[in-house]
Amino acid sequence: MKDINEIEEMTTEALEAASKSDTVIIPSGLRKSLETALIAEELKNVQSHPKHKPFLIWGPALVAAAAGLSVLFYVANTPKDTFSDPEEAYAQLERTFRYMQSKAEMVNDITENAFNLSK
Amino acid sequence: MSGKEFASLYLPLSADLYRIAYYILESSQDAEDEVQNLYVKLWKSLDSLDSVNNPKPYCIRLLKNQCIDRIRKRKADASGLVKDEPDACDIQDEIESRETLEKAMALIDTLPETKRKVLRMHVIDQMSYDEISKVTGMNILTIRVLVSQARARIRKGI
Repeated sequence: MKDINEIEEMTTEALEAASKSDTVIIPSGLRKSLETALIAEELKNVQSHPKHKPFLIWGPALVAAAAGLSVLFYVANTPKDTFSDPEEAYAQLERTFRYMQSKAEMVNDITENAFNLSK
Repeated sequence: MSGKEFASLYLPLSADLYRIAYYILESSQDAEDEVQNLYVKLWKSLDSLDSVNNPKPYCIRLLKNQCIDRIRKRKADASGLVKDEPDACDIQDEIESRETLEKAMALIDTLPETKRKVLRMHVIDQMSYDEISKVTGMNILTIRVLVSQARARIRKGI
């Protein structure tokens, strides 16, 4: 091993000349091991919790809240006590439940997809 | 600087840089370690490499300083000075970071060649899944799964 003073005195040009020396055998796997080091460096720093995770947690909750509000809005705007015919009242109730069911299914699908993505 | 540019400008210098490290350190293992350290350091500062006009002299200067540091550390180790230095915590962090890197490298080495190739294209060349699919003929979903599995494996392993 060379002395520190000796190395410090080496110019870039002198070292560039040393880089042309054909007496040094280059390890066969040098390039591959460098690539592996770079991949490892990149992957070891990958966060275990992806940045979009908060969205996956809060997203479905927000969608559920929005769906709930829209159902409430729909129900609130539905005429009250205006049905003299029981069949008509039943049909209106059925429509309301169908609407609620469709919203619930939509929320369920979104939540399921979000959980699948976060796995 | 993109990973692709780095791969085309800096990776071809590896043999020359190894010769220089070997010339200074006179040990193949030490030379290989220092060249690897240099590349990891360069990779970590990809953004700042845009301002480098001439990569080879720049790398030579960094490598020379690294080699000097290595010799200094070795001498300090031999004389027991490291324990008394105030930056012993930094040295410990560096050792841990190095160990983590080596563990990750060992895990990557166990991957089949196809997965390794896909990882290289994705991580170093920064190719999109679509581009990798065109080059390898593999399905995009398969590529996504390969990358994701490799990441998970390394995360779990380290």
